[in-house]
Amino acid sequence: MTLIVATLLLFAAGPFVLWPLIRTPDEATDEAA
Amino acid sequence: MILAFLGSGALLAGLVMAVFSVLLSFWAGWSENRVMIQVGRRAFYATAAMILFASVLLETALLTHDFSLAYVTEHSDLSTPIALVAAAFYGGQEGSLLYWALILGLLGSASLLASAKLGLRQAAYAAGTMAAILSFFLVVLVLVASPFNLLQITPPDGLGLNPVLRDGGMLIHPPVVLAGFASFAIPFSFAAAALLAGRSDAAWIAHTRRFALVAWGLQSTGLVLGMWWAYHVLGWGGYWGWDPVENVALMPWLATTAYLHSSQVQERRGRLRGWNFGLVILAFLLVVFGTFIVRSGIVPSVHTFAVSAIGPWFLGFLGACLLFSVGLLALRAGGLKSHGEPAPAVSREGAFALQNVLLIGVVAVVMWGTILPLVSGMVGQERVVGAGYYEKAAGPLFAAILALMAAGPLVPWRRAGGPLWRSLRWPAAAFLIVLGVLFAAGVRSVPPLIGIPLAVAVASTVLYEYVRGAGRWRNAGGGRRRAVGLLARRRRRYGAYLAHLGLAVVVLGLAASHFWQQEKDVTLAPGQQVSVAGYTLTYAGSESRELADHTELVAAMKLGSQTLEPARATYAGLGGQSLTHVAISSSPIADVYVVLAGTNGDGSASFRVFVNPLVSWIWAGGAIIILGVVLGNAGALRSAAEPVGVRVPSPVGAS
Repeated sequence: MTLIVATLLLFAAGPFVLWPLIRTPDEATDEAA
Repeated sequence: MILAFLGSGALLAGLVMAVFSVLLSFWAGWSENRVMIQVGRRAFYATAAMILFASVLLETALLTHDFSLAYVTEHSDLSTPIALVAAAFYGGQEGSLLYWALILGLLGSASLLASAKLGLRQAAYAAGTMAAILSFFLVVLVLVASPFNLLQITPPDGLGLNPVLRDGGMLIHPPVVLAGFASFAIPFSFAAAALLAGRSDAAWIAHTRRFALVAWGLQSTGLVLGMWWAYHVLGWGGYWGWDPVENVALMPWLATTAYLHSSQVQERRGRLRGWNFGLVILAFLLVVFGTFIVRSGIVPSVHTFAVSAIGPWFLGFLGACLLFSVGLLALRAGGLKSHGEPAPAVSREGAFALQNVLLIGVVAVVMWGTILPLVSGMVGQERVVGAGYYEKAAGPLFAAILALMAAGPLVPWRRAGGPLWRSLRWPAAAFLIVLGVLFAAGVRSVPPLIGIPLAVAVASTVLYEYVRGAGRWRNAGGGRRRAVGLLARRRRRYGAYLAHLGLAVVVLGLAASHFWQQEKDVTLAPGQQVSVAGYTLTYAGSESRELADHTELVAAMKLGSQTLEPARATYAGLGGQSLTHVAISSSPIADVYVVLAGTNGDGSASFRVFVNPLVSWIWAGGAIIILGVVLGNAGALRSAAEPVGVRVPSPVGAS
């Protein structure tokens, strides 16, 4: 149960933590150009 | 039960996130990967959020009396007032560790948010170091001391909080002093980051100083509140017992006091670089050492709270921190050499250096007194030291520090010349006048004949500086706007002087209450009187009162128009544990402090009566110190040191 809760919390925190890595398609295109 | 699973899960997720933050921050800092540094920093914020979530869950479990949790059962019960039930969050071993991690997470996040002006690499290493410290606490919380452990059978009621902790002081002293302890990790992390990144310029000082001040302010408040609480609760008429728990709270405070002064030498003159790193690191190591000492129970202490199996974990952590710090200092030793010409001995720099040596001397005295039972036990017969040791060994050092506080602010940077001696005449005159008055009043004991005139000399120096500031303002044309401008420009200086004034007031309170305390043990029948130091008390009788969680035997003592009610409380639900409730009549001149020792079959009652001169000055002085720190630094978005000479910023590696 503890493991499941921890996994869910980590999953929930993922977008916040990884936000600097997340690019919109426009930003990704700009960067490639 | 669901709270336990959620709480354990949050702590485990926090641990995973903290370890992720450590690895990523160090790697990204080393490779100067801007994006990954941000990810590592966000992982730290997420760790703090997980800890906050776990804390909310534990508080919810306490407030809803969820006795399926062992921690809730062991530290609260249905009869405890709700505010104290909430305070049980930090009242036990596991909860206090969680509270510690919470403060570190929140203050650490604030310090990272404020670190935009530091270099990328330095900020990343600071995040990594703080996350590493947080990881240790989370490992302990997950593996050894979880506040979310479940009981196999849920009891109908809990065991309740220790009766000594059932007091209003429980709501303020422990959270402040624990927050103080936790916050020393932040200056340490930024110092370690500066060393790792190879930067010893004033930038790290400017950033670290703010958080060192936060830690120092919290610890100062915690120490004064602890003294106040001990005085009001324990019933022995004193406020400081040189107990190991008190000593380990004092030592990092002393080391940080030294740092707050010596950091000015680096800010203004580019000197004492290595020493400043050493002091910040020392303060944190003393915190870890103190926690190990207190929580392992390896030295005898009156604070029986929280002795458990976490001692070896803290010993290991202390060893790791020590190795890391020594290694780091050794690695960067070459780049920490001071630049610029050395200052002469009689100068502000010299005064700060001497003050630092004296403060570290006090740390050494307190350290030896604290660990003596441990060290002597290892080599044969266990020995302990009493208050006499500390007073004899640390007293002269404190006197020298007071003398420096009186003279130091008047000594100019770089060198002292003729005007110095003219300035010093004021504190010297104050010292001599008070010395003469005390001598004329019949005081022959050397400690008060030195301590009290020195404290007055410190106060006169502060007043002299304020008068000098007012003179500058008048010469510049006066006016409200100019006064505000002058105060704002020099607020750090005037705030520090206010803190000095507060300390002088504290010293006067300490000296008077220590050297001239009077006490008397008496047994009185109703209607009988006792006189102590000119105060006459009349015993009016006693009665028994039933309260929610205990019964109280209350005695009534008339002091003029006042009625003091010393009592003895008995907690039937806690196996008949009893403790004394002190009655205090406080005034700026003296406290009349009455302890009920017991009642007898013939209607008489036994009392211990103390008259403690100027005790309230200690609390007032503590408040002035904090006011000085707050006024001197509130709103300071960046270091407000007044420049003297040329600052010499340079990377560690460049020598």
